[in-house]
Amino acid sequence: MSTRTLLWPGLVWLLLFFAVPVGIILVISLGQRAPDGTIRWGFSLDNYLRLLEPLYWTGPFWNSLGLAALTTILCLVLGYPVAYSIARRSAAVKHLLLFFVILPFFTNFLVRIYAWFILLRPEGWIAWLLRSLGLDLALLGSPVGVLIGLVYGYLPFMILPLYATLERFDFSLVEAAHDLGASRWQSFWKIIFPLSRPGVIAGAVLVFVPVLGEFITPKLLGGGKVPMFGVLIEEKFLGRVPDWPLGAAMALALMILVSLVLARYFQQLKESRWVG
Amino acid sequence: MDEFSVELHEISKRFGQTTVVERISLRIRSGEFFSLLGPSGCGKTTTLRIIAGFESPDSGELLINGKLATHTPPQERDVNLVFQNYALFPHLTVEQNVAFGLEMQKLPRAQIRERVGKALELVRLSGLGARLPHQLSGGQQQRVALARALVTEPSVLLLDEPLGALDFKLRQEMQLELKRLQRDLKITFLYVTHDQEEALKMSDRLAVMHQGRVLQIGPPQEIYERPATRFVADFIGESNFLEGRVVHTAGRRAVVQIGPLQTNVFSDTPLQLHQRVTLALRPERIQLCLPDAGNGTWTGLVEELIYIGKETRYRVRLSPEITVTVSSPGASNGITVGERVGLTWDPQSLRPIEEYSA
Repeated sequence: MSTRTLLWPGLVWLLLFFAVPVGIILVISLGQRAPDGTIRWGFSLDNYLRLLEPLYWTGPFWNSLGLAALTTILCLVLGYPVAYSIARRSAAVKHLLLFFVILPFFTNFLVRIYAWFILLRPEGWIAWLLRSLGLDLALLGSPVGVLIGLVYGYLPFMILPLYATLERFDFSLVEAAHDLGASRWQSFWKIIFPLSRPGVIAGAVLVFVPVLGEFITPKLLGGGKVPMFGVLIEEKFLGRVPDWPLGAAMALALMILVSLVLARYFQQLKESRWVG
Repeated sequence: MDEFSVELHEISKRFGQTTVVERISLRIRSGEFFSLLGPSGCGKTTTLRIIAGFESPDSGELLINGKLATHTPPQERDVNLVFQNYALFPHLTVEQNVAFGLEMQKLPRAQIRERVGKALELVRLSGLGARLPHQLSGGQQQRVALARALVTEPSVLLLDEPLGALDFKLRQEMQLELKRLQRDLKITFLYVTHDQEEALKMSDRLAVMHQGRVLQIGPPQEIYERPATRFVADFIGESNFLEGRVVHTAGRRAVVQIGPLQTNVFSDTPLQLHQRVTLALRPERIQLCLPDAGNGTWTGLVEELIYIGKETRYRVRLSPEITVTVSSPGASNGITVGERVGLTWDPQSLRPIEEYSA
């Protein structure tokens, strides 16, 4: 059996469950919403032009972009030391710690976000603790609450690729840097960080891209007060006033944006010339 | 300048239950090419890493250029290490790799460029400065590692089996080149190797290590000609070991009975009558002569004969219990297996050694 034959099952799968649905979405996005909420088929770019209206630009879109960027940065800052520290343990400890990192995946995502809902309530102990410290911060129904939920949910996706990179890291390079007079800080920024770039980029993509389209976390923890693009799309399909053609246009626009981010990612990887 | 570049006093290091380095004391002179020689796991690399500052000794003291440095962090030590795997920074060009140490010293750009250029010239790599390490051959990478370690002009250069990954020819070339660099730069080289030939060829002095201890320190000739212990005699070159008993003494001279054979032995420290003694005799120090020539020669039967080009090796049985290996240059000159031959040697080559049970 040639290796090309091995491609077929996957290709057929992609065609049936990716290409065809995207085609359907595209067709829907070119139609119009009928007054009764159903689709009036057609061929117009009206829905895409509507996306340029400030209504979509100002709020949800920038919220999504901003929260995705902030989540990515926070996951990187929190995840890097964790990944680094795990990578430097002995094999047995490494596996145990990695198990803890993926342990949350054993529980349904929705259940875990509900758990945060309880934790972040105004009558929950976190809010109480903050209040007793003199911080009257609204967590639930605020961007802060959504951000906490997003960082919580996506942190493992940052830690795992970072760990994979750092685990293979040749730490004699760090010794060489120290030997040549570099401080810990200098050897991190000049040697470790640049060489772990493939892991940083992979982690950033794995966090940024899905957060851009997230709707469960902002819906539950934002309580509808933190409009995000993903929430808007979901409402266009499942909300009380459905508008499938507009929702389809929004979904496709988001997909194109994500593709651009991914293209940049592969570009960056290619620039890591020393790999391979 | 201090007389000694590096001094170790009773340095010990354990990893868990195993003692890797046990009470090692060494004094390495300024400008000396000093080697730590021993089989893998003898503690030589750990000793080097203690001097570089990557390992902290459990006890003992380390002095670098006369100053206590036992717990000084590596970036503050005036020593640089050439790593066994080179540890070149893969994302930096050859020039950037070599410039790294100078940049850490925050030298002006122009000065860095000049010194990097000079260092690359020194290791004959001018013109390859813009390449990335993976675009270089093993030998070239080795030179970059050398240039990177030398460019900051450390007072001691530590080298951890730097030629281990190179093929035979290239290794021979680099040995000469390293020796040349060391002579020209007058830097102390501390060289770790398991290759006895390399150590003998390059070193001013060397220390033979085994199981975390230093067995003998001295210039190559002394180590080779007068090995102190059975391990040294066996690890450096080859030796026949003959066990016997002293039957007669007269000052530095003694007569030793080995099975049915007798021989004269000259010893630095007088041997005691009736003492058990082990004698070491190198195969290439034995000459073949006519059988039954008397006059202190031994006679035996050639059991095995192997021709390996530059020399021929004979296994000669002297008695039912005693065989020795003899090697003589060139072909066998008509001697065949089963023939009786005589053996003779310079009495100075037969040396009593310490029986070290390792």
